[in-house]
Amino acid sequence: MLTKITGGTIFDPANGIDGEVRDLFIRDDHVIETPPDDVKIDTTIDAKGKTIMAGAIDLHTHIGGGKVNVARTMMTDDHRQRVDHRTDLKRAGSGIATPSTTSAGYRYGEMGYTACFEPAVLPNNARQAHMEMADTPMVDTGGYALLGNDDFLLRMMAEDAEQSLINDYVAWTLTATQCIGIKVVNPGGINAFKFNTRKLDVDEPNPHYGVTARDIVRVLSRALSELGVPHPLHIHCSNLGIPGNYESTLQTIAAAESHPIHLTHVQFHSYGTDGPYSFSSEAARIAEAINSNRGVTTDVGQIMFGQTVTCSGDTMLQYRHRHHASPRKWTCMDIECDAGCGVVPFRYRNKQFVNALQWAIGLETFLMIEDPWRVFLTTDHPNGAPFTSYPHLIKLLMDKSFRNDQLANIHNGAAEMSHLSAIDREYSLYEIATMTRAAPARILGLSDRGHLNSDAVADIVIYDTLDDKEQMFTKPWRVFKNGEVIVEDGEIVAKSKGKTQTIRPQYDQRIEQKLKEYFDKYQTIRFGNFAIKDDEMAENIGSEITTHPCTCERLV
Amino acid sequence: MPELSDIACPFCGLLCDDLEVSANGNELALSNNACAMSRRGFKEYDREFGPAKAIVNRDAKGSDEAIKHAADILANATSPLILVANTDVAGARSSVRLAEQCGGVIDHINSPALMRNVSVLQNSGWFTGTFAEVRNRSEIIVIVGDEIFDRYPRLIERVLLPERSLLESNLDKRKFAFIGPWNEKSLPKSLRAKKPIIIDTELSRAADVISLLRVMLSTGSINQFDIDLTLKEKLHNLFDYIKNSSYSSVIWAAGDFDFPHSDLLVQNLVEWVRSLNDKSRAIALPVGGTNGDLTLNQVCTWQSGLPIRTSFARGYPEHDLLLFDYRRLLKSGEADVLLIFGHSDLNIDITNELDCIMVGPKDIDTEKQIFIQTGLPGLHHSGHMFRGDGVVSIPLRQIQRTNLPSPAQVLDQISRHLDLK
Repeated sequence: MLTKITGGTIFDPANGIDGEVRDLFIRDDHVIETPPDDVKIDTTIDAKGKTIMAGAIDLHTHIGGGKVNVARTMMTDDHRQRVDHRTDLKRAGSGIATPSTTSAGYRYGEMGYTACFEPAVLPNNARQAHMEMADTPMVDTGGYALLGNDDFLLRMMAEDAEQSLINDYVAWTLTATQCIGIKVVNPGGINAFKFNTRKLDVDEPNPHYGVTARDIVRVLSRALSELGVPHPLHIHCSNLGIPGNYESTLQTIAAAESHPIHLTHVQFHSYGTDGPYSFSSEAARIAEAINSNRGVTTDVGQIMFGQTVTCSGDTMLQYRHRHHASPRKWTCMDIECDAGCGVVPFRYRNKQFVNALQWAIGLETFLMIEDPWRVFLTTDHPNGAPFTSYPHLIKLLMDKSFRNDQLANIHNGAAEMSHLSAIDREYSLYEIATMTRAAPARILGLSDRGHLNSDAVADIVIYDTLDDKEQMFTKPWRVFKNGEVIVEDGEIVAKSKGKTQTIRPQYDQRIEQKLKEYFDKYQTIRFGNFAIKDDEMAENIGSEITTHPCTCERLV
Repeated sequence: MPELSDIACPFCGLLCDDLEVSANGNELALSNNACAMSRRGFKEYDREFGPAKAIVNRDAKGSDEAIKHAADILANATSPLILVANTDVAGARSSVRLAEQCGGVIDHINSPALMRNVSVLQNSGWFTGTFAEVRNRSEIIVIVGDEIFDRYPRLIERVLLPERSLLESNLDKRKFAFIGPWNEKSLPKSLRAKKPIIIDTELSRAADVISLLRVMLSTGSINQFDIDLTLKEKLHNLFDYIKNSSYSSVIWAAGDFDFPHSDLLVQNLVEWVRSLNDKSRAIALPVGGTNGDLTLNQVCTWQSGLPIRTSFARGYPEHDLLLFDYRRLLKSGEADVLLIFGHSDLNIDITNELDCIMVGPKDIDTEKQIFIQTGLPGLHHSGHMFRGDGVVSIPLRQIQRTNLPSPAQVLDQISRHLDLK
């Protein structure tokens, strides 16, 4: 099957193509070079005047795993607000902030997203995370395994284990959990909370193991670097949400000792203590630090006003922030000597000073980080807002007058304290394509997507070119997944099922003996049952794997 | 030599995955660590080799015909009830999909117990932990209930009082307390030796005890209450232990709380545990998981967005704890077709007018309209089940060859017939 998409305006930053009218050819499930003239074209799609990009990639969205199911259970009203009726093509589903797996897949597909990554896979809960993602239609998926609060690593570090041993453990974890990256949440803090510590700064030692967040960030970022894992350590920094936490964020950047790192939902980590409410924006300082450290990437975790729910592995901080719950309910869990989770519903209000400034801080961060290859479009779904608000966020970034109109609606004091009105920058379509396609593919080591080169997976989105960018990005004209049209005019027209994206760094298998002894003594699952096998992924969990190579063009 | 090791036992929510299994003729030989429940369970099913038995209106039929017949009945149903009695993840996926497809209600036979916990999570949230956390960190473990050791035979050795713990000093100090109709003699021997605090009470009054503990926590005193001096002393004793403990665990099996409004006891326990975290660390551990109740609930929640007791009658999921309780649907006669999944001979009250389809793992003769025999996940088929703490899903292995279809396969075949209608 050979398809020609003709006359569209292509934005393909990975190849430096910035709005050029070109033809695009798809053979079966891949993009191909222009075929010779005598080759028969099966289908020609006229995309004249339309905008073409690769399928979008969300590198940080909480769509699967135990905490999401806890959040779904608590958010009963959310599941009455929006429902998906069963049709010949679609399963039934429900929810906005905590959509069912089915609804999440449909919403992503309808917006032209073709791959999504769950950033908080607890190793002991990895099977569930993958099962949920396997039941998320339309998109390819993947996960980042949580390390850095597990008793095994902290014990090893307390015993001054050599870096090579830590590298083996990290590589084994990636393999055993079928994940593509490693995330650390509040390094050492979730574990410290189990020892009744309520706040942990970057250089404070864990009360039991004596190691600091700085130590953990250093050894884990180095491990990924030495193993050649494309995605750098994905870091949810210390002291999330606490005024003055920008210092922890800057200390975390320093802690990596120039190994590449990714700072996630950095908006929540860019707070100062100035002003009448002792809460201020330090977005400028954080953006400057990111601008001047080429090895640092970030996603923003923009908040939007309205009802959502925060679900995080950061038990320590979620417990601390429980008083802000709206509606007033919250859940925390200590989980399997791995980590934990906390689920706290939030309603962000535009007339509330702190919420309004959080909104402005997120936008400042987007607009002050110069390189779109190093800042990614996220709301930390659902923590800042449901992912369905992405088109609105894109409009805020691309349209200054719209942004200023919105700024006029927020709490006056917050608007006055923000630098937002002084920022003239408007993102271009090329930059949007960079931050939602090319850059996330590169930072995850997905060489087969995020671009429209020949041999790319034919995940392609065609938009009507509209002035109103929110409207444009809400309802793509066509979405191709693996070369098949799955969405027309924003509506699902075909079923599609994705695969799990994984990576397999090499390791010295002697680490398994050490792990087996640990499991035999302390764990409640046998070591032999812990690792998820490849055939188990395909058969019982329900998602085949695609393994990406463990070498990647480094950003540094 | 065992042929297979690290085998999981699917017969209770602990899902102990440390069994060694070898074949002894047609019979399975289990390693010494298998409990009586496990031995009984495997023995009940380990002679079922197929071909699958199928019955339509008391006559033996081929299973294809029975499946087609089941699909016909479901296609004509106005208010079908998919009642799951035992399942793995694959079976749960198939039963939720089938409920959706035929516009039915999905529920589990253990839901009366499970919903005591789920309703509290929905209303207020909670603060919980998992088996490995209790095992490695607890300094004091409070058990509320009466039958938890019958329900989970290896709970003590695997979670409560293991040989080793990451924090050895916490294990050395580990203290136990029991709230419920216990006396020293009724306690398991190993725990009796730890000289536990026993607060002997009917479970329907346990919420009063917890309330007193909460009052002590918030005001420091219960002197204003006119209560028995021995009880007061025990409460003070327990209160002091918890106050001085670095990590407390409060454990129950909601199936023990079989009295009206017992979700209020769960709510009380949850609020107590949450308040304990003001000063020290504490977690609740509501243990479930048996017969795949948590498995079904997890799958239903992620696929539909809502827990079990969800109806798809309008083509989208609607959840209601009271309205879609299978007991009410059967008693009121609202359900016109009942599909019982995962059990061959479930003894529940049903009226004669109800069409009944049974899909289960044991060869039986039945009065039900349709019976289709399947294998058992964890014996005849591989799969997954969620463990009693609701977090870890354990891989089940196929340990015996059989010609029986898996329970999920049977439902999927029914689904395919329905698709064609």
